[in-house]
Amino acid sequence: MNNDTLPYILRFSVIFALVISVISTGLSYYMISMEPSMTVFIIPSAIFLSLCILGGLAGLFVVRSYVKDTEAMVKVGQGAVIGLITGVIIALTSGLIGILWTFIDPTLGERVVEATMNAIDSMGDMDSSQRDAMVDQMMANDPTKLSTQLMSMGINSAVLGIVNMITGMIGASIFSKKEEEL
Amino acid sequence: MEQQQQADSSATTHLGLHQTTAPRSKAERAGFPDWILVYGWILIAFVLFQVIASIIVLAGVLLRRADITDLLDPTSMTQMMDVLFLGNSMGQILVFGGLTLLMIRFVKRTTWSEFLPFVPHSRVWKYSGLAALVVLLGAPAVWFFAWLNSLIPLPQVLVDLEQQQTQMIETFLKSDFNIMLAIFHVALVPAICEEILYRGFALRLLQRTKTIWVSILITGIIFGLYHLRLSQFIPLALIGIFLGWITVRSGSIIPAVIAHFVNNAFSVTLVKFMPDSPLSSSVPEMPPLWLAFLSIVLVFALLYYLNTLTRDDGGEHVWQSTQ
Repeated sequence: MNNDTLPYILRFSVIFALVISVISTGLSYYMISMEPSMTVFIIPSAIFLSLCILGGLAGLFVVRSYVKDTEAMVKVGQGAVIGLITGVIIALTSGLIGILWTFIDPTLGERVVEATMNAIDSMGDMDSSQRDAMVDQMMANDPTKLSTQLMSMGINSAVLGIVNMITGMIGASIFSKKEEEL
Repeated sequence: MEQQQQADSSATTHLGLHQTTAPRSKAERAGFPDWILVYGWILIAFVLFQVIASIIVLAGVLLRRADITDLLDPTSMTQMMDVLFLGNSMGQILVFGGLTLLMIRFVKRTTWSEFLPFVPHSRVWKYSGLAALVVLLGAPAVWFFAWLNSLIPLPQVLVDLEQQQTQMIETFLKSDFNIMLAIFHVALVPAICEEILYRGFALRLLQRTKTIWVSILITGIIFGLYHLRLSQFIPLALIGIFLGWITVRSGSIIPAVIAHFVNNAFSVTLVKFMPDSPLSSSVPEMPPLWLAFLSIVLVFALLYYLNTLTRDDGGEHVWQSTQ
């Protein structure tokens, strides 16, 4: 990878991080406003899925855009490097936006926890030990704590890094000029 | 000119750097830098391992017609430790073992036997025995470092998670379990599969671009972190560094596999037959200082002996010259 790709990586990382932050914050507010039910548990999965699918496309876009502008040859391995760096920057930027958002709305995390608690209580057929185990699990991952946010930034960096590494490789094999074409 | 080229070639051989003369691997031809192969694969392997292990555990829980919510309850999961061990072992064999061997095929510049030296040479069993002895004599030292590590404050989330995991394993090991089965899951499978990943793959690749000591340190640190037990990070990383060192000095992966096996099997045996021993406890107490000191002295004496023994044997030269 050379330094020419860096502006492309940064541009797409910031755009994707912003989009992901808007979606996940929006879904958190939607979750709070919902009636307590099992559906509440689907929201975190939806956030994670959107993070993977949407965030994972960034590697592809960076390689495509770079190849289109420069007509350079990007090998599969170079595509992997571009994708990995893009994914990690997206995760760190969106994580940072999440931390900054807690200054704007400090009670969001608490309300998310409360909504999940209410949803657990609405599940009448669950015995108390199972409910306690779920609550303990949730409290251990309390989104209001900085340590939890930093840990999820680390996990997201790994997930988005891997996904974008793969899409970066795919991008390189689809969009890059072949040696014989140059 | 020719003399200069020969001098350059000799210098690169001495440093273990072969980029100019060695044949290129499939990965290099595809433009993969070594660092992304090492860190990227370790990351992917870790995630894949978790996914495969989780799928097997979930399937096991469903086959037993148990409730899926039992997965969230540590007490219920203690009753299904065999399923957890099966998931763990299958994940290790498939990902750390099987898929890493495929990765080695992709990154190797030489033959299989040169890249992953599993074939024993004449002195390998002696080195293996001594490495196992280092691990056994070093147990009180490891205990001491685990206690030191426990003094470092960690986020409560991680502390709770670790305690839950350790208590589950302890409850299982202290119950009426088949010790051979536990040794298979806890000692044999990780010893082979993790050594293929860390010493066979990662150490090999790192040494192409870094000095041998930096490569040993990095793989040791990753080995310590990978276990997701930050309260045990220092002792695990030290064991990882020792396993890397013995691999390089002996020119074979076998001593590391055997020492790793002995280390894990020793823990299982101790918990089984001496469940009240402080070494079996998940919450480390401060060990008697004389014992820790004696252990450290004995380990250093053995390391000195191993160093002298392996120095003139040429194992390190063999390891560094074949990548």
